[in-house]
Amino acid sequence: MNHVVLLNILTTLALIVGLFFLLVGALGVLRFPDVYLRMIAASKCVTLGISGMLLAGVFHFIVIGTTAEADAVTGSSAMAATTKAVLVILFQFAAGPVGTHMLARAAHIDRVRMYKKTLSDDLREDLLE
Amino acid sequence: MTLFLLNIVLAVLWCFTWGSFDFLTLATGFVLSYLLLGLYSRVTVVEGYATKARDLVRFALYFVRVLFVANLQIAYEIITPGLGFSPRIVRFDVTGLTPVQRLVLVNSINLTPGTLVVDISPDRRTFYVHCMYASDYDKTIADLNDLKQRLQTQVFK
Repeated sequence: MNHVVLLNILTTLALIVGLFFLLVGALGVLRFPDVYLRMIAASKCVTLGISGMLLAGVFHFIVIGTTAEADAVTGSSAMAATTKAVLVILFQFAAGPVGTHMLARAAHIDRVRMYKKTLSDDLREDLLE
Repeated sequence: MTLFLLNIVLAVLWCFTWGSFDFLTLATGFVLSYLLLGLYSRVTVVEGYATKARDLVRFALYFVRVLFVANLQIAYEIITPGLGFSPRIVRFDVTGLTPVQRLVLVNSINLTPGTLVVDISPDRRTFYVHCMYASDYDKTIADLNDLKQRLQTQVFK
């Protein structure tokens, strides 16, 4: 019984952390001044947010798998859910940054206006040379 | 040998995803992972597996810490009123890295919030990195170098 309580607390914590970062990411997209900064908010907070949500799912399925009425089927579905969640997190970490990079590159090639407090742009300097 | 172990691990992983350990599932997993490893072993050569794995774990821990700290920094920036950015696009020298190392470095930089690789020079020796807080030019470069150094010593030896 005890470890079920612990796992439920972990589920809630992971959900709160995940949702917090998703919310913050969404607010960041609204508040940040230019496309690069927005992209930072949109991509990175979301990476952490999704990881948190998936971890919550993993803990939840472990709880389901270990309760009294669990049989072999739910036990193995907990395992399947865990593996899938871990794989999704890994893929997210591998694929997300690539998309961000391509968007940033496209924005720079397209000369999207940068935040007025931007201090310097070495890439523009090198392109002008 | 290592590749054979990897093959078994992948096959078991395949069984986990299906949630069943019948012979048929295991066999399918084995064949699929064998094909996958055939592709993989053409790209890289695996050796010194044990120390490599330990260093990878150490890097992963460092990376998760950086990810969290920097995400909290962004969250703080978003929640508190006013914007304290000092963004810049800086040159970052990556001479001497192999293509795989550059790939991993780009992904790491992009995942650490506050930094974003905007472009790579045509000769592939320079990254152009957009940084959120870069009022101190040299410190920004030093932080990026720290990440690069860790990648080189802990992931690729």
